[in-house]
Amino acid sequence: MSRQSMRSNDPKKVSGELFTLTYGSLVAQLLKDYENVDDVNRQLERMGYNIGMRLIEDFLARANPGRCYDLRDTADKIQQAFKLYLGVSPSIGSWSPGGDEFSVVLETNPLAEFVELPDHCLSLRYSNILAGVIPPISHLRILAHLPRERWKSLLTGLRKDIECSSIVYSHLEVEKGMFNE
Amino acid sequence: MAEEAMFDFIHMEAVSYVFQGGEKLAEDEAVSKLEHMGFATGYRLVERLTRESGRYKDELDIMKYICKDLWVTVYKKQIDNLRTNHQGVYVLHDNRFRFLSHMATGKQYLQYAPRYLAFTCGLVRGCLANLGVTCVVTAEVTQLPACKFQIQVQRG
Repeated sequence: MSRQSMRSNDPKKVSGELFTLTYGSLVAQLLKDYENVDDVNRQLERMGYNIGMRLIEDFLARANPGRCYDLRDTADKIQQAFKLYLGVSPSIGSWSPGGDEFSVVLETNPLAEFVELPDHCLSLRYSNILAGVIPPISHLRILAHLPRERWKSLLTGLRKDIECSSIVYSHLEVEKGMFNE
Repeated sequence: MAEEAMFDFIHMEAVSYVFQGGEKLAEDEAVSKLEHMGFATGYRLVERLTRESGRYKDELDIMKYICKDLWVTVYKKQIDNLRTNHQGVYVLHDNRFRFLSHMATGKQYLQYAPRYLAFTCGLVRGCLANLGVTCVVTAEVTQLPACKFQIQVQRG
């Protein structure tokens, strides 16, 4: 053999990159297929939903998380699942007084690691797939959405300063009982 | 490892999207979309993976890299058999291909198997393109979950 194996890279990181890049090509393809950015957002959410349906099976088998007794338990499990599947630990916060609304905030978003959105895609919710994943895994009637303005403003911030490209925030707000529209 | 599951899921979604999603597409067009996604992924991925490695000696050396390191990174196993006619045709045999391993063996779903190989064909073509080898990659399944990829290098 002329060559030793030189995978000095952390295999865990590499498979994360593979996922990120695959997701990127998928979004690029969707943008090519649909003229309307809103349709892309919707499609991404639908895909997320399908992934969530499979993911919850995998998660139950793998992590044996036990029963959720209230929404705080559910929030914990969501946090645990993010850690397991995306390798990032989101923080859970902004509980509403009634305890039926909370935010999942990702400090770093692995999906957006290599991403720079062009100007005509500013209304694209790039990580919308995550918003789709949460409802089926949490088994609650939940509306998860990524507030657009926030993503946009953070993105604008990002564009001004290339240095902070690793700090891409995304913000998920989860509200109970808003699923039937 | 849990992250691998995510790659499987996103691939499944990509396949089901191009074949059912939106307007009905011709089979060829759907395959070419998947292939293109694979190409884009492979092209970018290999650039990151080979960042710290030396120059490859020749074409065969590149193929060995694809069979060993790349396959382990992406599919968690090595290619089982690599054959070449030394004139630019390489055949990679995988006896248990990861995307096919979830499917029932037997003849029932054999006709759908190529859908799950198109992305990988593109991935390999993208990797090779970035390593300076222009080629055409085709895949073939005769018995699930085994498959073979044929790489035909374009010269001149």
